[in-house]
Amino acid sequence: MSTLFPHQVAAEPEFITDKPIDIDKLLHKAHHPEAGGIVLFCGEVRDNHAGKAVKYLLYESYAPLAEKVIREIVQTAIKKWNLQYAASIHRIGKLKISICAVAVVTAHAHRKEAYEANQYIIDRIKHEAPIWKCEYYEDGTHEWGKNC
Amino acid sequence: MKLKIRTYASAKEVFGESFEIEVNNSCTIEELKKKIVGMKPEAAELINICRFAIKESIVNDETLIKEDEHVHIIPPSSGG
Repeated sequence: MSTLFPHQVAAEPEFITDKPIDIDKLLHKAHHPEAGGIVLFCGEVRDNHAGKAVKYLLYESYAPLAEKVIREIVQTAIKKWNLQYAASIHRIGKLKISICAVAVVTAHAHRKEAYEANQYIIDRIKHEAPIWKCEYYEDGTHEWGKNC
Repeated sequence: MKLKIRTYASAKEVFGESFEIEVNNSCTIEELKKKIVGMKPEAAELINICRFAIKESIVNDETLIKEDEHVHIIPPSSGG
């Protein structure tokens, strides 16, 4: 039984980044001898929205508050599901199609809890973190996302 | 007193990235909202669905704004 890090949060928390998200690194950090289930969610840029062809997305955030909000969400999930590990990173800036905009990783002894916790984290981030996306369409128009 | 307001996303398109507004001392967030809507009535619907933040914390309508504090207008989130 691990007693050193009973509720381990990412050692170097980094919840908002303007650099590409390193999925391998994120997944690697989630390995834990007591975790039998690791769930990784990646939210990627889709090439269409409401029937319109999307060229790229621009993400913006109020970073200091977004960091604080995501940290609280991740820590709450760790306690609620007794996770071995959880982390999340959201990217900002201009992102092309199929690029990872947000990633969430959760590790638990069993997959059910790892899935549930992962969904809890991404759902709350989408609704609560001060992060916004602007969709730039192929027809030259653009639109800021509505509450999701 | 003069307040500095910072905006984001859809609010930025309406007001620009930042602006200053003159308010009475002991102004609350609710009073600030009314003042902003008075300045731009077409933004009333947007302002009503926005949250407001000071010093990296979400504040409520009754919060008193102090001089020199920066107020952030937070439109509904659309990350992910």
